[in-house]
Amino acid sequence: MILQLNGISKRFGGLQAVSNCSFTVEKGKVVALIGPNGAGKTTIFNLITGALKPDSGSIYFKGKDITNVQEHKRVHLGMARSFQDVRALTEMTVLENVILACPSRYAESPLLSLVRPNQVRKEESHNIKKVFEILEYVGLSDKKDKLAGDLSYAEQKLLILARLLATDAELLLLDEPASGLDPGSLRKFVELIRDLTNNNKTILIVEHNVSLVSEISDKMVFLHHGEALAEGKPDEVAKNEELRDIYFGA
Amino acid sequence: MEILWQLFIQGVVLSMVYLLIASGFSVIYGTTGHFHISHAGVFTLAGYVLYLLMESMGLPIWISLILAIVISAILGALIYLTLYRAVLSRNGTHLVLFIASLGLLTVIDNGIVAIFSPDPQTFTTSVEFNKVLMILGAPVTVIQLGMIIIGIVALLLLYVFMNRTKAGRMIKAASVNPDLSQIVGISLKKIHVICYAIGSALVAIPGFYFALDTGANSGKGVELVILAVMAVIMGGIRSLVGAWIASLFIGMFYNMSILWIPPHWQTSIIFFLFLIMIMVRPTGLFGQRA
Amino acid sequence: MELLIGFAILACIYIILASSLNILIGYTGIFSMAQAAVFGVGAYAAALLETKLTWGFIPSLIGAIVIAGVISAIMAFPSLGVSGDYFIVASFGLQMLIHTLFMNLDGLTNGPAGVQRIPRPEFFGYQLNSDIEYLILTILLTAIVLWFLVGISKTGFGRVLRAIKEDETVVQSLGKSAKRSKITVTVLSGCVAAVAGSIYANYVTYISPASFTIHESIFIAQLIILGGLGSWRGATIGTIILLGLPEVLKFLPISETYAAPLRQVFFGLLIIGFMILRPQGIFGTNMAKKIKIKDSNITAELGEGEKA
Repeated sequence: MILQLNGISKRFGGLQAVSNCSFTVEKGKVVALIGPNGAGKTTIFNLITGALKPDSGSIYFKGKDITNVQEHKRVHLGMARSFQDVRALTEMTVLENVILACPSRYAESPLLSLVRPNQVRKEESHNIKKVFEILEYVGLSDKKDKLAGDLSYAEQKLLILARLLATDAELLLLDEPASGLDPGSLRKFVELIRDLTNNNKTILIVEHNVSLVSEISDKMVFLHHGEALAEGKPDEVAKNEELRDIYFGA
Repeated sequence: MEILWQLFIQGVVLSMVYLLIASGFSVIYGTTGHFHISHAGVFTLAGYVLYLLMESMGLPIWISLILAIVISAILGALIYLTLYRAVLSRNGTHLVLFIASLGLLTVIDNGIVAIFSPDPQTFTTSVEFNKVLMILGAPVTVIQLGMIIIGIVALLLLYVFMNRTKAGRMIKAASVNPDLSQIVGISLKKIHVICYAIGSALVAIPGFYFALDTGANSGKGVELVILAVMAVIMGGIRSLVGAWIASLFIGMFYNMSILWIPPHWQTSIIFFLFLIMIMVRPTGLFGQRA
Repeated sequence: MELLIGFAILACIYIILASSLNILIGYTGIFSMAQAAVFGVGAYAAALLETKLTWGFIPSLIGAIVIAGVISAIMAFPSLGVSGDYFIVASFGLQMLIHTLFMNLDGLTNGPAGVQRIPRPEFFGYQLNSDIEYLILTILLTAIVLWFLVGISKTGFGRVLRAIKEDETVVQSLGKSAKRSKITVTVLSGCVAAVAGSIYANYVTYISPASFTIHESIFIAQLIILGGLGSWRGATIGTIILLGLPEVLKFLPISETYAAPLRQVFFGLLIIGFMILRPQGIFGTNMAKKIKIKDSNITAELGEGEKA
């Protein structure tokens, strides 16, 4: 088990966005968060990554209580997220977008880059090599010097995935990674996800496309009004009449 | 006790200055979202317009005041219609507009100095208006009293206009949801023109007061406007009443605190308090947290 | 010739100031309107170390850099939580707060009268009395500062800054502390501005609060905006052009009383013209696009406040 949520709650003013939510994510699996709009899926992402602090409850990551760990430090522990609205850095090149995500000790410190120029060079060339491999893996290597803003939508989504891989995170939180993709890109995407779990990555995914998540996920967590109503194998959850009614608003 | 009363009266005068500048800025910013720093330029221009009308053309003060208010309102509307629209229509953003507005302020402030010299232009006719009246033992000049009365009337009119008239409600609707207003057929351009005119008319009143009191002068506007903008932020953006309370606080603090704090430290303390506030509660004292 | 040397020294001072803002506004998108205040802190620190403690030029320069760095770090805090228009107002507030401190801390700054009789630098018993010697020192320092800043901007740190300008949330989500980088760059910018302050104090040998007003802050910001945000050519060549152009007015038969404000009018008109026709400035490339992204932050910020 890599991630565990214990009774997490979060309130915004009069709205109880997440209430007493608990579920677990097992290492090397693809877990999908599903539920109708406003069920609190993105809020849960924000709570897991530390962009928001829960009102109550605790979060364990790799056996460690991270409830009070700062957002950027959680990335160092090994988790990284994508955003629903893509958010590529459009004024920077593809290469820069990805190298930015690499952990850095020397190159990004103005002081160290002055006193340890050799270390900096070593780190940068190591990172560039790594970025090349990642870009090769997602299939963007011929676009590396393009501005991210000039990429197509589907390419930007691949770029975001590359960026997440560059963080070295074991747990990837993907917020609607497949939305807006054409069937061709979608196939490629599914293959990438499958391949990632074989490479020791764990994936928590928010996705609206139920047939897609049924296909790729090992487990589904069904959220409603910020509560984890059910969790289990995709076909079990998908077959549950009650949940279907909630989901399709019957 | 008497000194307390005197400081209170002077506090009321200064509060009215900030109230009017802040209300003017708030009407414009709240609706258009433009950081109209040239508000300070309109403040300065208003004083010189009054000077020209009274001293060069020899018009009586009441006619001059009315004309000068109308001219200031037109100037404000023109700044929007010419400069700001030119910037925005070329896909300029609000930040670009702010920089252009800074440029315009530089032009206004220095253009006036080039034409009128850096010295204050004193009103020869203002002697009689500097006459001091006593209100329960506190000295108040006729100009100060006049500004307070005109200011109160203007703010009441503003409140009634915003809350009781159709145009006012349209402005409110446009400030909350510009897209929606466009859909229901309210012309945003028209609303923005009205806001610039109203805001500029409001800032003209303290402009007249400063000109009549110490002579029309250039370059005084920025700091006053920045303080007023702070009042707007402290009060919570788009909360007119919040801006009023914060303006009152600033004006009163400047004068009343003289009792405990050496006089030249007031400005430092106001800025310090503002910075503390923006750290603790960035949405303002009366704005709701998100 | 003397005029030219004087112009060159001032140009160097403004090149440093414009560069210090370039890394802040141009790279990171921190729209600070308080640079004259930091410039002033550097000038006062150097002047006071030299006159009150009789330190030499170099130790005072280093002292000024350290002091301005510390004060910049303190200044960074109140404004970190806010963005967009609020940040601009907060930095205006800081500018005015520090200006009032120059005026009010009589015992230290000597109030409105300012600090006088600041000595020209002396090296191994040799004093740089002529302006041409001082110019050489100034050019040397300017070159070091530029080398440093341009170098920094090309490192991974510069990359993080540009990313912050585009999207702070993303930077944070990739495991970088945007807050720390913002404080660091504010401190760096302050240290650089202090170098300009020190050169200025030793050049004019007399400083007063009047040189470090809000108008000066606006002027410095306008220099780099016109030169081109994010462009080092803008910060250098742009600054020289912009300072040089209005000097032409000197050759017209206008008295200085009118020439000074007219230069400013000219400058203001230039700003307006550029903002309408070419908002990215002389050497900037795609600032308009970049700023647009920032703009959505401003709108978001407003959206939060509007529920009052």
